[in-house]
Amino acid sequence: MKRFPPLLKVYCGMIYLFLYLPMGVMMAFSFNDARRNVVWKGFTLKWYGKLFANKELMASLATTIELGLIATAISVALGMLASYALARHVRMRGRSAYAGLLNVPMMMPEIVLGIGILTFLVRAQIELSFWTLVLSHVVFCLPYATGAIRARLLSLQSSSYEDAAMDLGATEWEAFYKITLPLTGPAILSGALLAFTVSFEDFVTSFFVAGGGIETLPIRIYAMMKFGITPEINAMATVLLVFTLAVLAAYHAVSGGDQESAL
Amino acid sequence: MGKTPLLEISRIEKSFGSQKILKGISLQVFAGEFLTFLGPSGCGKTTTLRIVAGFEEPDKGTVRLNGEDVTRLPPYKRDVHTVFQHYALFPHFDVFENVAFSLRLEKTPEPEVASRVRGALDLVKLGGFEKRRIDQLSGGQQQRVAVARSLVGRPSLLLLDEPLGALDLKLRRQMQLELKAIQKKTGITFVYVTHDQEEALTLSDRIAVFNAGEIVQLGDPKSIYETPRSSFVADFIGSANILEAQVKLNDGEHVVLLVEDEVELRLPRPVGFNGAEGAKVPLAIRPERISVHFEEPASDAGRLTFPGALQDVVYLGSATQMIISPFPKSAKVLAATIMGKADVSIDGARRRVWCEVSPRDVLLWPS
Repeated sequence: MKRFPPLLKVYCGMIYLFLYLPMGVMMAFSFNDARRNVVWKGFTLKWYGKLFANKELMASLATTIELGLIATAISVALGMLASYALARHVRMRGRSAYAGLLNVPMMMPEIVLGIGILTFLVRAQIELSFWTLVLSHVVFCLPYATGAIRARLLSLQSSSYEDAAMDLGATEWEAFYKITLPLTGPAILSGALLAFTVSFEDFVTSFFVAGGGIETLPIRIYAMMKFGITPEINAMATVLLVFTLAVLAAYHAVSGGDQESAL
Repeated sequence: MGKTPLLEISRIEKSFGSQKILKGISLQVFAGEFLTFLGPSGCGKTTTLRIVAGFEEPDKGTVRLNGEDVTRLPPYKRDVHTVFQHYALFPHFDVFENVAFSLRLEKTPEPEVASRVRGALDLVKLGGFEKRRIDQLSGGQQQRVAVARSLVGRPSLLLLDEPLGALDLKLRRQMQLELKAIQKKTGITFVYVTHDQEEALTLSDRIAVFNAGEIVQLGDPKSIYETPRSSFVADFIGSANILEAQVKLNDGEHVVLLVEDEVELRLPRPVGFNGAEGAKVPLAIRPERISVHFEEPASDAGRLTFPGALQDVVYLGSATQMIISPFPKSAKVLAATIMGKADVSIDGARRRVWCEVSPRDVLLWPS
């Protein structure tokens, strides 16, 4: 075994400290028995109690979860259909253009997306509501939901599983639900987890498009922070962090360790 | 053969984009036959197979199975099963469920499914592997499962798309013999695609040689090897020294050829050869039909002899190949294969040898 030079160890340690210390401090102060974030006054869980008693905050959390679930379901369904078409019709005209355009919302600055969607909705005289929010979330969730599914379907297609099923007497539909769908399951799940996380934490686009008294969790937290960072916000952020890490772990588990290539 | 062919392909044409892949393929396959599509990659053999299976529709022409036009029928309505190149075994099923797939679709009663799957697995010598997962099998075992899965439904025609391409040489040889035995035992008609000429010669009752979207020769292995109908077939099946010759004389009785501007050969005119005097024609001689002598052989009226310089000796294990240059002005060399161990060494300088060929083994073609 080659030994790491001590200086390199220190250097690496500093990098991780830099990355994770702020979050650690935040988590620690969410258990701090004081109104201000400066001095440690002892351990308490009261901020978590306050958090869950905060009706507005809980309402915005419910909205965010509902929004995330609906947007994820629509994105996964659309992504599945698009990927299936792209995988099966290799010789389709303009195939690579369609495939590329599916990914563009992922690269686009979110502020551009937000302004674009808002401008469109105003021009089309569509009133801002929960459903316009769903629509805009689908726009940027779609590439995340689609990525893993498309990669999986392409590799399934090159293995001729559907051809083999049809050759053995399965109709198109039977080949799809007996062979393709079960084999795409893990990719659908990982795409859905990714899409949900992206939707859950979205601030910029939601800030533009939310209207009619709809408030998502990130927007609510932003509003709360106008009065300074309270231990309550630390507690909320800690809950979110734990939740995100759980989703990430689940994603790694279903995508079988090759998460870097899927992203 | 007066009976209806099991499979009849008539004037099939197919283009992908602007590229014409099949230029009018016609073929009849009879029940119980083992027929091979042989050709280099991109010659259209796999496309033809996919049209028969129903994965592609031809632009023109018809496919008939047992006299019935199936050209526009989807794959699941054809009594044809396919063994795919990479097997396409369903990874989320075990061996048993893979083999049982077609039976389950037909809602076959459970006891019959069990007995037929067992029968199919016994046929491919995989009894006892029912509960194995696909990723626990070796390449050769996966190949056997694929064959069992396609045979369990007792199709009248089995298509095999380069089924042994992914196996190593030794296993490939063994599986060739087993496939042949399975075909004999079941009596099912096999249409087999390969680019391996040795495999085609070993397995087939008849071979259809494909080149550039056409069938250039159709016949039994012996006739294709002995009387190839073009220099392409001679070169592709077995190996051949392909040379260029100019016709010096063609009086109907005899022809005199100037090979590579160097060696003059006089031989009885092969049947059908119509090269006019002065024309340049291709000529082929198989390496194993050339005898090599180190002393000038006594002249024999029936045999053709010409001298050359021995350039190299290649040890092939069961045979020895000699590389000979009879044409000092041209870069072309002749390969001559001597079966068994030839005690030859080239000590420094090139050695002078004499090549001897029977006129029958000089292959010429009508233009």
